[in-house]
Amino acid sequence: MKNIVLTRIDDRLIHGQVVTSWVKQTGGNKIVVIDDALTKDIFMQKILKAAAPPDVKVEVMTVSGAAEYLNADPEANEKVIILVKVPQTLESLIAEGVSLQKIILGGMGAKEGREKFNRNVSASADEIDSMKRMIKNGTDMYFQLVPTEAVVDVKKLLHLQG
Amino acid sequence: MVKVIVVSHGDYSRALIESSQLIMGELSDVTAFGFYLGESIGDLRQKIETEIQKIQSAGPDDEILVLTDMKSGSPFNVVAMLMQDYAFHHLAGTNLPIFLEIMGTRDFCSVQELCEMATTEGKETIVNVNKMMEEL
Repeated sequence: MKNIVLTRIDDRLIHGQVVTSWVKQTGGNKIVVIDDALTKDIFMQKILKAAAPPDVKVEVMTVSGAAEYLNADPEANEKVIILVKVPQTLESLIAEGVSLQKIILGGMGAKEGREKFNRNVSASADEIDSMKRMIKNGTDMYFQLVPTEAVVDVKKLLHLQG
Repeated sequence: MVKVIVVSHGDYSRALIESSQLIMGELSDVTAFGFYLGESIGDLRQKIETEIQKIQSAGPDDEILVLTDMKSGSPFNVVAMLMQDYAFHHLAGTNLPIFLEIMGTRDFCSVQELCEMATTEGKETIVNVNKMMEEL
């Protein structure tokens, strides 16, 4: 399995918090954006590549492509940061056999159909259900905007037992 | 005249205009948009898009320059996405000296010239003053 240093849900994908804090703190040198629709959007892929620091490689993958890639043998010195827009993408990734121990919930912007449930995070009923299922199945999930900030257990935010 | 839109994290864009006015006096034909925590990038996109359309319908020949605060931020990402649908120039990494230079020369420079100037001379606006003093 690849050396994953961060798995983050953040619908802004590559932006200030990720580039100035997370990449530096984790030492990540490869960002894998998992999003089926984006794999067909060449223009957005260019923007993602432009937004990343020059020494960080960016690849956009489908869920099944990412599962295959992540489960393959690690490459020397490669540190992978996984970014997804919504929790369901990670749930599909786990269903495809990728083992994720810890997920960082970074941000999901307010929009129609979503309700605010924490600072910087709004979620729809489907998104909340997906997070609950992953937590119940044993994945740890923490809200953390930037690495210098204390983590908040999403289990507590969602009022789950145990 | 080149019409200017500034987009930043938080209040930086508004403050950039206000601070510049201390030096240059009242500025017109420049608008600011800020991105705030928890906001959706769709909302920010909508606001900038409306402004671009407003400028284009008021003066179809006017050139538009959109300045963002840094490469790799959500303001940058949103403006970069808009480049697919609208014709304008986008300059990332704006600071006060570059902004002042643009505001001072946009009456007689094309938008290409402004971008060229900012990316070449802009680097000289960042100075290690200790080192400069030693060399003087």
